[in-house]
Amino acid sequence: MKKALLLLVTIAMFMTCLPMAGAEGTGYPYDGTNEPIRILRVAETRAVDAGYSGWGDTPFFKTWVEKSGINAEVIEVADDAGIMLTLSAGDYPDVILIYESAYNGGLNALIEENLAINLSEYSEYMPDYEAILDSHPSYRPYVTYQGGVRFFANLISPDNIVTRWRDMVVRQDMLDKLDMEVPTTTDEFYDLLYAMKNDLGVENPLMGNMWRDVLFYEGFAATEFGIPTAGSYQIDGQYHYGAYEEGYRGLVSYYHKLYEDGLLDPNFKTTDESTSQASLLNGTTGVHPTTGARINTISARSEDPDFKLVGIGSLNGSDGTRAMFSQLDPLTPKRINAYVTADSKQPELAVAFFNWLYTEEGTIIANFGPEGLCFEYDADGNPVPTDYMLNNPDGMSFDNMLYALSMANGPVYVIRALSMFRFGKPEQRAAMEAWDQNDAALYKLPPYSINDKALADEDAALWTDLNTYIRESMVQFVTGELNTDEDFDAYIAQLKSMGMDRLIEIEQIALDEYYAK
Amino acid sequence: MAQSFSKRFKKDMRLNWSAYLLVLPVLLYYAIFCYKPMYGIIISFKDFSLRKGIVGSEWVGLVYYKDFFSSYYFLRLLKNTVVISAASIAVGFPIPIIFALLLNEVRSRAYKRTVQTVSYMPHFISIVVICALIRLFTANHSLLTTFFSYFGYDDRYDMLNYKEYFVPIYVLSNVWQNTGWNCIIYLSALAGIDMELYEAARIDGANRWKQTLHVTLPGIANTVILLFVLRLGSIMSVGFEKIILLYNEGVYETADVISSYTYRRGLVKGDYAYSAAIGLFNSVINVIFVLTANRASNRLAGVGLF
Amino acid sequence: MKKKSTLKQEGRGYEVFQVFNNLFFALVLFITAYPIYYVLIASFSSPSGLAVNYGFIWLPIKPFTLEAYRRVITYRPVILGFKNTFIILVAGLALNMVMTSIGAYFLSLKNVMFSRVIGMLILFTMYFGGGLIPSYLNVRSLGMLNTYWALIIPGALSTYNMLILRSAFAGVPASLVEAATIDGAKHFTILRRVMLPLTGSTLAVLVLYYGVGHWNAWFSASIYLQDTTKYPLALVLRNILIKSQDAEMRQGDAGNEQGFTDLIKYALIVVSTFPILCLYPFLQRFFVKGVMIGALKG
Repeated sequence: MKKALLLLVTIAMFMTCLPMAGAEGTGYPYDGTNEPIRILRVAETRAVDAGYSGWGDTPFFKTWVEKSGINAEVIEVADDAGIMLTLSAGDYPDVILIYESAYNGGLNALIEENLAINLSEYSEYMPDYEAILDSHPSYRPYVTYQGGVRFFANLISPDNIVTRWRDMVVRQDMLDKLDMEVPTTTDEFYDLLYAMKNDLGVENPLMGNMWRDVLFYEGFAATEFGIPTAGSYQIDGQYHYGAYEEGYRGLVSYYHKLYEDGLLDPNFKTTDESTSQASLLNGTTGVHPTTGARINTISARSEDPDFKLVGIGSLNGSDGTRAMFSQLDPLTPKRINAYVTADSKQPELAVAFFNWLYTEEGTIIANFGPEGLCFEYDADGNPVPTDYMLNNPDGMSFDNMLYALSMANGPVYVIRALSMFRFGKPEQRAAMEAWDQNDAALYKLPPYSINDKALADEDAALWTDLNTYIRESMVQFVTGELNTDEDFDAYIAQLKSMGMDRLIEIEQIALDEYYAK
Repeated sequence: MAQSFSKRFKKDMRLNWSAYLLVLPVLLYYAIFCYKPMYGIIISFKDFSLRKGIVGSEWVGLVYYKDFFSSYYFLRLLKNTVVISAASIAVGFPIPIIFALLLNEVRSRAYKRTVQTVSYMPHFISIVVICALIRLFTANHSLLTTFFSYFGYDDRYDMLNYKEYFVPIYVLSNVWQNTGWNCIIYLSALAGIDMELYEAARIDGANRWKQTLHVTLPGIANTVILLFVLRLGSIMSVGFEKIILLYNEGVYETADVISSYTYRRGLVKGDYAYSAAIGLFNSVINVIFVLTANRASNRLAGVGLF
Repeated sequence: MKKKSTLKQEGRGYEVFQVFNNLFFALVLFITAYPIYYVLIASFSSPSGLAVNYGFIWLPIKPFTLEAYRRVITYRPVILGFKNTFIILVAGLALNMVMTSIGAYFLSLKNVMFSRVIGMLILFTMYFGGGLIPSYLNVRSLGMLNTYWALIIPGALSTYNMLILRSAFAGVPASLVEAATIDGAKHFTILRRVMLPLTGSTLAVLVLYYGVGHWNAWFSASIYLQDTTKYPLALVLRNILIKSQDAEMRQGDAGNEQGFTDLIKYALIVVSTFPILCLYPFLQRFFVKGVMIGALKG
């Protein structure tokens, strides 16, 4: 009798444990009988370009549903306003896929409005995601807020090829003609431009409409003058703004000299992308700030067989200091996140659904797309994208195909294997190497945000005015309208009187909060 | 009126019931689509929360307005908006009228039609392409710059570098793009003038110029006045798209307007209530202008909106 | 028309004026035709040629390619966009003209007690509104979300256009209206038999205004439609333009698209502008001829 009872109890316990079978994460696929998880997002139009009626109809999404065993459907709206409107109508989905910056008030507002629940309460449904969060110290603080994990994020694997996607390039053939090397200091850079103008007759040696980003905010020449960049940075957790520092005086003087001596495009304020690309192609310019992707595009357009672009990384200090800054994506770039709303009647399933993306199989498919259509395994077991993706018959680029048929900039663990294909061209890779020779990781700010609403409003009001003034003065210093000797102190004083110190204070508070996590 | 309200009301109903019935769909339209959502106008006084909705959100009063008015650049933005708008009206309003009048004098019907059809085409080209073309025209060593170099302009520089040229470029390119389209209403007004009036004037010995003065202009006067009053009602509405596409920080001094500033502000931190406040501010100014213009035109010309 | 004799009558001064006038319009033709010409030739020029020779072009750049047109014409959203826009245009225009006519007529009446008040209330809506969220909730509560109706009914009336038509109605000679009233006509008949026939040129302008408005409208579609298959042409066009702006910033390999994004942009403009340009000649007739009011008097 006792034995029978024991057996009965055991069977009963076993039966009650069955629905939890999926909870370990290794329990995929689930039984697929649930009400569809509703996911709200801004339409991914590239899915339509690729021939599907929407992102929810792509083989990628269908594979995701199939393999995880959890039903889901996608509701697409035309733009960010559409998300806000759908929510304001009381039509709350289970999951919202959105850039945090696209939601008024950011993560703080999402939490206040009960649109981003604490996922840590469903921890047992996302073991794979938790494991990844633990695999590197910068991941967990990024997604944790008010006591728990708040969203599924796009995370870059630490072993990934370091991606730099914007910096300076120069025409190799011009270097060859001048018998010069790629410059590494501000003096060498000046000499190169000077030689280009006077020996080669290049009209505007340095030209490009990304000058603001590369020359100023990504600190191309700043190291020489004691600041990493003209934009924001941190030293030992202290927030700084380069254009408010004394070192900025030297930086703008340097660029002013380039402008005065005819080495910087006199129309730098107005020259657009098409004009500067054309100039680079026809030789009226030799040094150009651009993106890695455009290196490929520009080179493809050149009809000159000698045309080759090489990268110039941020310049070192003449005293030997290694370049301090450049463009650099953190391992936690602010891309599209997945938030589970408090209105979801199936939060466990929603969590489990997204957790699948971080499983071993899920990671590959979320990076490359579904097997067969989008990639094959080669002899060594490595995924290789198919021709359909790399040389799409409709002419869509590999990147755009990834947007349509994989997770791309959504929540996913981005692996090295994929990046090797995305940044495949040798010229681009070589440039990225050159752009990597600096210590930007030391000075970059982490992806923090200002969480207090009142402070965020104050910050926005201050910053809009301050940035307007900084940008106006920036060009005035370069052209010489403002004199770096006479007018610089007044410039700093003006920033002070407009509230720059208060802004730095607010940013510091937010930064401290982030580090405290 | 010696009659009481109810007497007049009854008389009105008796005489005009068919008119009220006829216009009922229009009244319904405005009631349902304009007045029913009108409560949303208070959003700029609230700390908007999605869950609470507009009505349920907390009042914050004039916080956004204070924010906007206390901006370091408020006066400059206001000045630029008004200057660009006033210049657009001063230049852009008469030109289509003159254009229509001149076109009306063209003898060849085929030529007239061709000019009409071609001149309104730029109106349809998207602003992105138009601005790319403007940049092309005003770039260094380009058509306009080379032309002006004969007048002392240094043609190595793009014209959009200079804050003095921004407003003329903005206004004149608007004329270029939109005159053909804007003159259509005047052409139709010209077509509505009774031919017999011209005959009568000719018989009285008036030449073409006198005819224009005494027949044509009075004939389109009502249209012109109406459109002018309405135009003044959009004085604060300088759209941000074209400004953003043409400006750069070197010309903020004359080019940065309320809408472009608000756009930049929205990039830092999106806020519907804030942009709604700016919108309301603009609307109030617009209404003041339109009502004033209406009253003036009623007094001076005897005709206006109401 | 006895134009030639009139010319002689006017005298030398007028003849000189004619010469200058015609020359002036030749110049106008030239400068206003250039943008469309540029877009046209750029749309089948070689992409790399365009990139290298960025600037003024007077002739298309070899090697020519119709690839951009091929892609645009076979792009399903564009084909659907045409169909959707056509439906919205026809239905919307019909509703617009009916609503505008009755509204304008009412506002032009002189001795209706409430016409001024109603006019003011209507004018008020031109400047003040509830904003995006209440409008959206309103449309939603009427069950129009994700339907064509959401693009037709909320946009049924443009106050601006209505005021223009009102002014035209007010300009109809009072004597004609009196004559009709004496004959026993009620308001509806006056509208139909007196007002509308005499304001043909204004009505033609409004057809053009509303028509072009529908053709170019993308915003309402972007907030009220969910089915991408219902997107009108203007929204499709806008999506492509926006995407091509940020496509270039992509971090990865962009070489495959080989600069067709610009050509596609131009081809799209040509393809989507063409139908509207075809509509205009039909409406032109109304602007060019004069109206013989005198004949109607008899």
